[in-house]
Order: sequence, then structure tokens, then C-alpha cells
Amino acid sequence: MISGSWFERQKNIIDYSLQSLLRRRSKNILILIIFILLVFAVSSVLFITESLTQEMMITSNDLPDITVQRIVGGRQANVPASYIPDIEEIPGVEAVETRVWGYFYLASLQANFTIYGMDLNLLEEGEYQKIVNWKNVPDESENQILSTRPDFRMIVGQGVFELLRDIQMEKAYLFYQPTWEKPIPFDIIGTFKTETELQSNDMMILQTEGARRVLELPPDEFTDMAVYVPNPEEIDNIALKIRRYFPELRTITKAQIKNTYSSVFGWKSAFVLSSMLAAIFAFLILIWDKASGLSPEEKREIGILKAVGWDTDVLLSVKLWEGLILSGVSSLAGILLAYTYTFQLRAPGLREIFIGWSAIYPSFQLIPDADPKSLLLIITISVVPYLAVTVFPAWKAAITDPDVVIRNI
Amino acid sequence: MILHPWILGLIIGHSALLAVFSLGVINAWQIFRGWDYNSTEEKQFLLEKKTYLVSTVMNFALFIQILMLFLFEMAADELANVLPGAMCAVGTLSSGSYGFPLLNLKIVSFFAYFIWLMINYLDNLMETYPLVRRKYLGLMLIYPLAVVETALLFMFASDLDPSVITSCCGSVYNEGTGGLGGSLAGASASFILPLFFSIVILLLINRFVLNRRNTGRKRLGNLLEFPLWIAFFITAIAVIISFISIYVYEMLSHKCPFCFMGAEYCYYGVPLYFFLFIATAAGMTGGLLEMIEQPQALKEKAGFLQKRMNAVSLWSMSAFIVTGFLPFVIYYIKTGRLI
Amino acid sequence: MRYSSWLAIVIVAFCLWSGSAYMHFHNRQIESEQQIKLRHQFQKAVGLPNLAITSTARYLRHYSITDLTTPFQDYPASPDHFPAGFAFAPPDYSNMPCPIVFGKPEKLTRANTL
Repeated sequence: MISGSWFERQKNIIDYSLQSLLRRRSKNILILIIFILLVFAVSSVLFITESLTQEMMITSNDLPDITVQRIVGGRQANVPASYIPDIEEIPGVEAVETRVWGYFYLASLQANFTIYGMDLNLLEEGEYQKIVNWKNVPDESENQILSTRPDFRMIVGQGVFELLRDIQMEKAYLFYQPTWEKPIPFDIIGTFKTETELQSNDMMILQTEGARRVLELPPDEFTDMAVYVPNPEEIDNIALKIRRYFPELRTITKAQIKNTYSSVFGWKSAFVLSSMLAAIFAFLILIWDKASGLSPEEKREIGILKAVGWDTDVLLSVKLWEGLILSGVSSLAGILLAYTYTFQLRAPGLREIFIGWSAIYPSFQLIPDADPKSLLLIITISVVPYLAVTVFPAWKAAITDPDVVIRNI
Repeated sequence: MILHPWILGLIIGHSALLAVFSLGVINAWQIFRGWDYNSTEEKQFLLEKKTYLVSTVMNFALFIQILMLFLFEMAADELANVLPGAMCAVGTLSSGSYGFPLLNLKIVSFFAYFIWLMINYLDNLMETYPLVRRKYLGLMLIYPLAVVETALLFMFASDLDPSVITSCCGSVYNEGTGGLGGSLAGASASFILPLFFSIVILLLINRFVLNRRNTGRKRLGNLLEFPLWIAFFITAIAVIISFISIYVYEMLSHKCPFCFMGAEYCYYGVPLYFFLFIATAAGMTGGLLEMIEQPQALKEKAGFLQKRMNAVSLWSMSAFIVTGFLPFVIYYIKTGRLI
Repeated sequence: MRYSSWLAIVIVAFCLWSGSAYMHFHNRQIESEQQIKLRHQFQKAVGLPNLAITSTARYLRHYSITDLTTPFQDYPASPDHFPAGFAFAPPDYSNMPCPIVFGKPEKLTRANTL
């Protein structure tokens, strides 16, 4: 009954496998659905992790080479200006940049903003200009006020801007700290473009002097320092030197930051995956049970097939094709579903696990980062064990003797 | 030890391979001990059924082995991102002392599985299974390869240390460096290319001159194929390192046999290695089939299979040479000079 | 119709689906080029690391440059990033004698009698 070329033969076998899969519809649909769900869950976790990590890695080369903090009593403390000349003297150091930054907690909105002080005039020049949507171009009367207090200007991220708009402060925000006599208004002269929102969403960039006032930082002190080293080979040595000269300083090199980048979501994804471990084992047991236990009907079917002259190896191919079709279709469907869910629907549900609770969310429109290699890995992990588990039961089924079965009827 | 998804994938794949292979070997041992074709006992009947199990299992094992070979290369490539200093697969493989032995072992066992499966296929064509005991003895001899491979994989995985700086392909495959990689790269193209082509020509002469005559010389020629194909494989790897890679990367100093398997080079290495492996495996099998003498019916079938294997190996070899020297030809046409 | 033809149809459907997923992938890659350029500029201007996806706590927002002893510094039960944070509950102060008196003393006594 099976003849013709190899291709024709396999086609007939596939026909029969599909028929037999469809005959035990309820059981196989159950396996299919659980299989799809499992592949889907695992691969969407992998997708999110990979692309969040990738999002961070994109800009990692633009980070300062060494970040220097001062640790006092186990906590980060302000850095006095006296360190700067000493570090600048270390051979190989190009520049030491002092930074003024911190956080501002807005109790009424329960939001935590990042405040960063820099010279805003820098952003009005050259390439930097493109990252800001300039607004509130002042008219004559306001211009005078502005020019009298250029220190109280700021540029905010899109998320901050939307929050401030809700409380009607989109033109200028009134900063207030408990020790102040009265609040200080800061003019919002622009917002960062939405393209940068993954980095700028909770940022308020203030003129340095203004930031100093808001953070209540004494003059001649800074939050931390960024050290620039032109030669990447020297970074580690210079960091070591800084630590040797000043044991109270802590150095974080660009490479260390990159390392934390690659591990920051690793732990979370491992947590999510390990909480799925129980489900994975349950699934394996279910498959083993479904695939190894031959129902009496199935036995009878195989017995009759052998009685009408089917070969053992044809029956084996039937069983293996069944496994291959089931596992292949479901892992493909699982991966494609995961892609749609993560990158087109933006992972509702899973998103919250990964980004945590927060008053200001970015839109979470991730750049897809699906490597064909990792797809192959997912397929391998799902298809190979399934087939390995089904080999023995398939053989058991295929060698059943027709007389045994027929006598049992 | 690092728990990387790729390491996990390799371990899962190899555990499946070893489990399935162990199942096969247990049955192979039973068949080897109790086989008696003329017996009419129930035991013999059961043993005959078990041969199906062993063939299925081995087919599956070969399939996993091929997959794992690719996966291993890709895993090494991916792990290079984690290990400092490593730029591609070479860095990962040379970071511990188990990387390259594992790769070599995997290549050897790929060929062993392939040859075994071909002989198994041949034997299954016959009603009486004349090769059955020798075949299963062979299987049991291959089994340690799989065990050692899995053990090596575990040692390789536990040996990977993200804090140790490894070397990249630029330093391993450099004339200045000692060791096998360095000397392979150092072998100048003017030495290795004639060697490679003389082996190819020898193979062709063997095919088209010696094999034409139906005498003892044909037998000698076919037996010669086996060592010739091994030599072909080794020199082909040397040619890839010292000649082909230069033209793929268009850079004189970059001689890496792994980097071009990546997406940056349009997966150029995948067809290249595919043809190389198929050509060598088919050629070696074709040569080995000559050893089968008796019975006459089997010998005829073996001759048939041998012809097909020879054709496959010849076509794959030409495909390998065409793919391999395409970058060179394109470069020469574009610039009109050698590198 | 043969069953294998149905399988072929399913496979073709999968191919179409993956094709559309690939189109989406490709379009996003092209769209993101400009975005990446701007983000490089932003990173150069503002040297702080990490993504602004969560600003719950300072050691989550600037995970890479935070000090090593920060968990629970911001407020009790703040969602934690570190392994122990999932397992360790915040300290329970409810049955401790309260040295700080809030509000007026008579309020306290009334609370105590209740």
C-alpha cells in the first residue's frame, strides 16, 4: 500500500499520522495547547529580557569611563572639590567632570524624579539640539524675567511633563523644600523627545546652579565625578590608582556598568522561569503519560495494521511523524505568539513584573531583538526532549503483534 | 559554571542524546549476545524486533548530533559575549582546556554515526541481517564517544569562567602564535593550496581512472579513498583557515574559521561546512563499503550504495570548492589583484 | 483533500505569520535607527546609566551605580530587586514600645485605653 518515491512515501505516512492525531482529538489538542503555552511563556520571557538588555547596551559605549563616588559610613556622600586636581594629575586622565544630581520626591503625585544639573546652554548647540523639543519661546516681557534668572530653567522628560501638565504646571514648576522660605519657580524651556524616553522619562535637567539649590548641595561639593580616559586599556589601572590614592572613593568603570547591564534582568528572568519549573515538570509527566500509555483502541488499531501487512518501521515513522508534527507546530506557534505578545501587544502582564511599580511609565515600545540563533535554541529545547521521550513508547507500540491484540478482542 | 540558556540547551540536547543512545546500546548488547538467525525461539523473534528500536534510536541520535554540532558552534559564539576578551567562538573554546577537544570529538563522532547508519541501512536491506553482530559491536564501540562527549560538555561548562580573560581568534590564528592554530595559519597559501588540490586531483584520478577497471586495482582504489578523504578534510580545514578566510573577511590578518558563520557574513560558513562534512562523510563511507566481501548479495547492494555515496561525495566536494573559492574569485574580479 | 495538504496549508500559514512578524521586526529596526541616534546624544549629554523604566527606588533607577547597602533604605516594603528582597519581609515594628509620641498626649492615652 505504500509505494512510490521516498517523498511520496513520506507524504502517505504523514497523511496517516495526521489522521491518527485527529482521531484522538481531545488528547492531542490538550497536549498542543499546553505545549504552545509553555513555549510561549518561556520565549516571551527570553524575548523581553534580551530586548531590555539590548536597549540598555545600545548606549553603553557613551557612558563615562569611570564614575567616582565617595563612600562614608557605607553610604554615598558628597565629593569635595579638593579631589579634582589630584585625580586630574594621574597620567592618562583626560578630564574630570563633576556632576550634580539627585532625586526629588513629589509626595502629592508619589513620583520620584531624577534631577540632573548641567549647563543647559550646551544643549542648545550642535547635535544635542535635536534631542530637545524647545517650547515656551518667551515673548518680550517674559524674556526680561528669564534673562534675569537663567539659573532657574529646566528641561524635563516626556513622562515628567505629562505629570506636571496634570497639575497645571507645564510652563513652570514650583520647587519647594521644607527648609526654604518660599518655593522657587523653574521655567520649563523644553521637553526631551519621546524617542529618548527610555532614558529621559523621569529626568529633570536643571541648570547646575538651580540643581544645587534644589538638592541643597553646599558650594564646592558635588554628587560624584566622571573621569574620562581616552585609552580603554588604561581604564582599569587608573581606577585602581584612584582607589589606592583615596581609599574612601569608589570607582565604577564602564565595563562594570556593562556587566550589571547584562545581569540586571537576568535575575528577574531566572526568577520567572524557575517559578514556571513546576509547570514544565507537570507537562513532561503529562506527555510521558499520554505518549507512553497505549489505549486499547490504539493497540487494536496497530494490531490490525500489522495484520494487513504494515511494516514495523513504517509504524515507527508514523509515530515519530506524529511527535514531530505536534512538537514542531506547537513550538513554532508558541514562538510566533510570544513575538506578537511581546513586541506588538507590548507584553501586558509580564511588563509589570519586569519594570516594577512606578508613577511614571515609559510607553514600553521595545526594539525587537530576536536572533534567529535563539529561535533555533528554543525549537531545539522543545522538540528534542519531546521526541526523545516518545521514541521508546513509539517502538513499544510499533512492535505489538497482531495476534496478541486480536486475541484480546 | 555559568547558567546560560545556550549551555542549558546543549546540556538538554546531550542528555537526550545520551539517554536515547544508552537505550540503543542496552538493546544492542542483548542482540549481540543472543543473536542466532536460524533459531525459531521467541527470544530471537524479540531480538529481531529490537533491531528496529536500535535503528530508530540511532537515526534520532545522528539527527541530534548534527543539530548539537551546529548548536555548539553557535553557543560558543554567543558565549563569547559573556567572556571578556573573546570575540567569537574561538575565544570560548580556548578559554578552558576542554573546548577544542570537545569540538574535535564531536566532529569525529559525527563521522562515526554517519558511517554506522549507512552500514545499518545496508544491512537492513537484507532479509538475514548478515552484518548484525559486527554492526552492534561497532555501536558499542561508538558508545564511549557519546559518554566522553557528555562528560566533556559538563567539564567545559563548569570550566567557563566569566572573570578569566581569554584570547580571541585574532591571536589564536596568528602566525606569531605557537600551537596548532598558529601553525595552520602560518602555513602559507602557496604551500597548502597545492597540497589541497593535489589531494583533490588524486581523488579524481582515483575515481575516474582506477575505478574504471573492474580488477583488483579497483578494490585498492576504493580502499584508498578512506585515508584520502581524511586527508581531504584536514587540508580543507587548513585551506579555510589560511586562504579562504582571508578573502571572506578581505583582511590579511583575520584568519578565523568561525567568524563567518555569523549573520555579518550572511551565514557564509554554514553551506561551506555543510558541503565539507557531507563530502567527507559520504566519501569515507564509500571507501569503507569496499571492505564488505560476503555474502555475494550483500556485496552487490554495497556496490550500489557505494556508487551513490561516491556521487554524493563528488558533488558535495565540487560544491565545497565552488563556495570556498567564490569569495576569492569575486575579490579578484572586483580588484584585479590578490590580497 | 488529503491530510498532508492540510498540513501544508498550516505550514504556509505559519510562513505568512512569520513573514508578517519579520516585516514588523524589520520596520521597527528601521524606525529605531533615528531613536538610537538621539539616545546616543542623550547619553553623551547626561552621563547617568540605566533605563528610566522604573523610578520606585533610587537603587532600582540607577542600579548600576548605587551603593552596595541600599535595600530598604527608601521605605519599608519597597519592591526589591535583590534576591533576598523576594524572601525577606520588611521588619515588623508594630509591637515595639514606641519612643516617639505623635500628636498630643491625651490622644495617645485614648488610643491606649482602646
